[in-house]
Parts: sequence; structure tokens; C-alpha cells
Amino acid sequence: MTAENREEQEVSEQEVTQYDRQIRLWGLDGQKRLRNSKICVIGLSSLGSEIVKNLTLAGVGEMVLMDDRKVDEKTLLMTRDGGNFFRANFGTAFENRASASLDRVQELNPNVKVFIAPGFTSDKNLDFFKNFSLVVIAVILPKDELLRITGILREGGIKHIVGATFGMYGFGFNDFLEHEYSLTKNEKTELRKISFKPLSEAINYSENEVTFPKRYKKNKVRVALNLYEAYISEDFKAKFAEFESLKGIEDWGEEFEGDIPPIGAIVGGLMGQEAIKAIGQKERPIYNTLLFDGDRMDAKELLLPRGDPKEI
Amino acid sequence: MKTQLWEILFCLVVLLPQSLNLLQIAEENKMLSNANWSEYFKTQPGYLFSVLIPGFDWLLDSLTAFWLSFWNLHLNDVKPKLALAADIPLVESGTAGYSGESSVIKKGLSPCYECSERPRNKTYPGCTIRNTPSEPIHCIVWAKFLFSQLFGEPDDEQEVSPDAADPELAVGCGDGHATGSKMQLRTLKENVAAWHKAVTDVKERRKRDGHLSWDKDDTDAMMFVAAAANIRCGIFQIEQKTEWKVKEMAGNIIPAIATANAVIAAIVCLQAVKVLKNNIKKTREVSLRVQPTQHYILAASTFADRNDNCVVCAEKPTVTITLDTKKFTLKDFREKVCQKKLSMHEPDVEMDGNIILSSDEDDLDENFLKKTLSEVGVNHGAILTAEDFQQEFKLEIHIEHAEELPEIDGQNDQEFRISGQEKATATITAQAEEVAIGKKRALSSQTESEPAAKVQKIMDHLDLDDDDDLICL
Repeated sequence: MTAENREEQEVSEQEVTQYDRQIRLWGLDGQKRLRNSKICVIGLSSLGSEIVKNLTLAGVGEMVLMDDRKVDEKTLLMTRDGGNFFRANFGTAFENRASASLDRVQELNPNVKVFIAPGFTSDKNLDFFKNFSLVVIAVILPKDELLRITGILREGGIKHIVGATFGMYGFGFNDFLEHEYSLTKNEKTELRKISFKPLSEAINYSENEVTFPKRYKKNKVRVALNLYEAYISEDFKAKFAEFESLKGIEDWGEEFEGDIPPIGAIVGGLMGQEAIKAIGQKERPIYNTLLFDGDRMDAKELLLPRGDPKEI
Repeated sequence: MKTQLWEILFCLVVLLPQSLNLLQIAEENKMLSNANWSEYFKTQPGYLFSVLIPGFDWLLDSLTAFWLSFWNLHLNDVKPKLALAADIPLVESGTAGYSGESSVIKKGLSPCYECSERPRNKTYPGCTIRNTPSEPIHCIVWAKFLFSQLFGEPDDEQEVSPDAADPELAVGCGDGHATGSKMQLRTLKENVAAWHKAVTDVKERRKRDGHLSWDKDDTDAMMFVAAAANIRCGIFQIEQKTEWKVKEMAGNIIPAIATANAVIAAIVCLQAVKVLKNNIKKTREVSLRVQPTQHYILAASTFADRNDNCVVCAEKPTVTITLDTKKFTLKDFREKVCQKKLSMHEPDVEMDGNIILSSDEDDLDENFLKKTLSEVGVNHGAILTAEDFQQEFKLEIHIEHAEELPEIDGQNDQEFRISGQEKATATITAQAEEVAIGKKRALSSQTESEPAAKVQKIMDHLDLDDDDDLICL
């Protein structure tokens, strides 16, 4: 399972046929990188399970699921953090969400080795993470724990994505360290580099330092930043209630309590694509923060100062 | 595309309470046949077709006897027109590779499928294919034609032998050169061997099964085209392509990925919920990009303006067609104008209550179809009514006679020219002026009032949400 022998695995004939439509997009080399990657997804809510689905279908090498929260039979699909569509047999008792999801994830793509990581983030350290090519944190962690994990991942040189959804809003943060990627424009391919900012640094920027889309209204900027701050604060729920981010949620009924499946699908789709960019090293990734507004149905990049990709 | 459907299914059917009823109602109506389902659109109050999502059909298909084609942007697609005719909002969507889009089509409010010209399948001039190929695609098309000529139904438009009458034939060929590629290219010898094997196999099948049609997923047919195209590329010194690449070009394969499908499918659900909640003005034209453009990776804008000249979604669709009534035959009028250009399926054309063309195949006899328009009384200034029952589509056609069409941009390769509403209105106005000059004042005052009505219409459609200035292009 070391990095060296993973690199040696070529894409087989069978895989070329199975992944035909996507290989035409990111090429055999992109597929080969995916083929040899090892991903860990923490948190199997509607967002986490969407990311797991996207990366499993894309054909990553190994997929490790981590979520030790108990499966609640009564709540089925419709509760906060419960929009996990992989859960098999609702009546059956499973240890936790990760084990309840295992079979369905495996069914999606027999080529992918799917595993469960026991426990949760609190008992994990660099030893656990060091073999992963990418870690996706799709669960709301307390600020200290989130910074501890991202700190470990930085230290170990592991690319990671952090994300969450709240009501009609969703949020994603990329840290791809020193990222190299190729970009094809007018049939010419060139190599580019971006240095990503760690989360610990990013959360200290003030509103004035972050570049927002032109014409974006100031009060909206505030909301975005508040969400951003709220995301990593302990009293997230209390702060969350103050924002207009629940706007539109009444359309979906109160039982969703903030976890709306299509929002998870959109943010999970966008973040899944970012994960593929991180591994496949094709196309420019989002630098660093993505904010999705489900009411307006748009998703934008909040640029951190310095180190901007050239073409912006 | 399947993942996109599953996504819609998951988000909308499993989780949206209304949709559960949708399934139920669909099941209760098992006996529905495709013939009367446009009627069905109109008669069903409330839920079932309060919003129509293309691609959702396969689900209904498994439950009922609905017939629908899956999402595609062909202009002659029945569905969008039917939805328009029945005045039901349609959530349109599609993905291609990393990109995708979704918008809502509502009669009179948003642009319809045919408000803007959409790209049609690209075709190449016969002389390029037969005599002077300069790009790999020319050789691939030639090889597909060759396959059809040898093993399919003969088709004059798919001629492959050199055209001796073409003056360009003598001119030298392109000076391209073969380059290597990551995936293996066959040598000439291997190409000949591959072609030989494919021909032998296909010949056997031809004997057994009769006419064959080319299919990219048919291994023999694919090998035949790849080998033949590359041999021809070699002859004309054009860059050769691997069989894998030839398959993409010959079969028009559009790349598809799970992520883009998931995002767009979920957007479709959000749009549908807005429509169901009677909030159609809150729906957006959403587009997904490979990478952020002006900071947006998913951009949303309000409805674009409808095309007032659109012949499909106008209140009273009217077009003017300029052609030579003394030469243009009914057959051409039916096939080239009605079917190809106006995308009607089975047109019924009438003039002053007399049937000119009937949708009933039995009434279309060869000799009658050979007649020119003027022979059946259709001359300059004639007003025809064309109708397609299948699509619930009706429009008025004004005929303008011209022995030679005026050139546009130095080109004059068409047998007829078609113009939209404005031209038709102008023609009516002009004719009315000729007939009764006295009515001129009334008519012109009517035209003057149009801009005001248009402004009002735009105002009505403007979304007064304060976020409107955020439209991102």
C-alpha cells in the first residue's frame, strides 16, 4: 500500500471501456492518477455521501469511509446530516453510518476497494492519514478539532477539502498545498502552479482582504463571511439561526432541518469535481473557498489575497 | 446520463412529498397511449404535469405506456413543442463534459427551444468528402459512407467515388503529416489487415442479415471505418487517428461525468420546486463551468428575452417564405420547408380551406407531389396555414415569389429563404396598404402601440428581486 507500488498500476482494458466517457475528458493519464489514488471521506451526510458517490464512480483506487455516528431507524433519510442515500435496509441494525453505507458504495463500482475506518477523527493522527492522496472532511467539526486535523494533513503533505451545507447554502474549502496542474487552451497544454493557503491562515482574513465577484453586494459579503466564521465556530447552530441562509428552506418542509438533498448534491458535485482536479491535476481548481447559494442557484469562488492563479 | 436521472429521482421522487403522488398518478394511468398524451397534458389538473422534466420520462416509461424520447436538443424534438402548446413549464437541462446548463421554458415568459438557432449536425460538402479531404474527419465521414454503400441501403447523397467533374480534383492534396499519439496507431500494413478482417466479417453478416447500418458500438463496423479512414488519411497525407479517437469523431461521443450530472440534476430539482411553489420568476438560467469565470463556477441569470421572431412560441406564429413558385415542387415544400426547416412531422397545409398537402400518407401521390406550387394555385401573396397535429403546432405561411433570391453575404446556395414574424407582419401591412390605402392610418397606429406593449411585457417579466444586478455573464 505504499506510494511506490500504487504508482505502477496501469489502467486496464476493462477500465478503459468502463470509464470511456470520462477518459475522453481527462485523458488516460488523469484516469491513471485517479486509479492510483486513495481517498478518505469523513462524514456521510447528504454532502459526504454525494462526494463518495462521485469519486467511486470516477474510479479512484481506494475509498475509505469514516463516520461513527449511529444509524437512527426512525429518521430515515430526512434529518439533518442524515441525507445519506447509501444506507441499505433501514430495519437492519448497523454499527454506524459508514458500515451501513459500505455495500451500496461497493455496488457502485466493483473496481474500487471500499473500506471502513473505525472510530472518528479524535483518535486519528498522522500515522492514520499519511497514506492518503486526498482527505475530504464533509462534517461539521469543532473549530479546534478541525484545525488540528487540517494541521496534521498540512504537515503530512496531504491534499484536503473541507465542506459543509447549511440550509440553502453550501461551503467548500480547498487546500491542495503546492498544486501543479495542466491547462489546455486552444489546443496548447501548459503547466501551472498554485500555492494554497492553509485553513488556519484563511480564517484570519478580514472581509476587506477577500476578493468577491464584482458587483457583489456588501451585505451579502457579510453573510458569506458570517457563514464562513459560523462554520468553524462552536456555537454554529445559534449563529446559523441568525442568518438568512434558511431562506427558501420552507419549500422543502421543516423535517429537513437544514440538510436539503439537492444542496448536498450540488455542493458534493462541485467538491467532487475539485477532488478530481486535485488528483487528476487537470484544470484550475477553486482557490480556496467555494460558496454556494441555493436560493440564487449560483456558486462562486472567494479569492484569498496573494498567490492568485495567473488567469484570474 | 443515467447518473443525472438517478439524482433527479433521488432528490425529487424520494424526498419531495408531491412527487410521491406523481408516481401514484402515473401508475393509475397505465393505459395511456402516446397518441393522446398531449391531450393528457391539458386535462390533468394540478400535480402530474405541473412541471415537465425531460429525462424523467424513463421512470414514467417503466410505469406507464408513455412514449418519450430522452433529452436531446434536436430541433424536431416533439416534447418541447408539446409542453409549449399545453402551456406547461418545462425544466430543460443538459450536460456535456465538465459543463452543464439548466433553464425553465414557459410560454410567453422565457425563450423557447427554438428562439435561438441551435447548432445542427455538421455536414461536409460532397466534393470535400469524395475528392479533396484535408482533415481526418473528412476521411472518417468518407469511410462511414463507404460502409453504407457496401453493406447498407444505397444512398446517392453518400457517394464515395471521386467526382471527375469537379475542377478541384486535379489540384494537389493537403500537406499535412502523420504524427504519433499516446494510444497506438496502426501501420499501413496493420490497417489493411484490420480492414480486410472487418470486410470479411461484415460481408458474412450482410449475407445473413441483409442491409446493415453503421453503429459505433459494432466492433466490426468500427474497425472498418477506423482502418479505411486511416488508409485514406495516409493517401492524402493527413494526420491519422487511433481507433479510440475515430470512434469519438465518427460516433459523435459526448463526454459525461458523474459530478456535472449531479450538480445539474440537483439544479433541475431546485428549479422544479420553484415552479411548483408558483415562483417561476425565481427560476434561473444556470450554467456550470469547468473552472470559475469571473469567480463563478456555477452562474445564474434571469430569463433572456424571447425572440419575437420565433415561429414556435409566438402568440400567432407566422413566417414569410421567399421562393420561386414556378419551380418549387410540393415535395420540396413538404420535405425541405415544412419538415426540415420548420421541424414539423406530418404537415397539413391548407389555403382558403383547400388542402394543399395532407398528413395522410395515402393522399400523397408521387405525381401530385411533383407539381409546382403555382400549379396548385399557390402564387405570390398566398397565405397558407400549416398544421402539425402531432405537435399541436400551427403556423401561417406567407408566400413571396422571387425568380432569384437576393444574395446575402455573397452567398446564394439556397432554394428558398425564410423570415420570421416581423417580415410577415410587414408583408401583411404592405399588402393591406395596397388593397385599402384608407386603412393605413389605423394600421400604423397599431404598429406604434407595439413598442409600448413590448416594454410592458418586459416590465412584467422583470424579476424585481434586489439581487437582479448580480447577473453574471
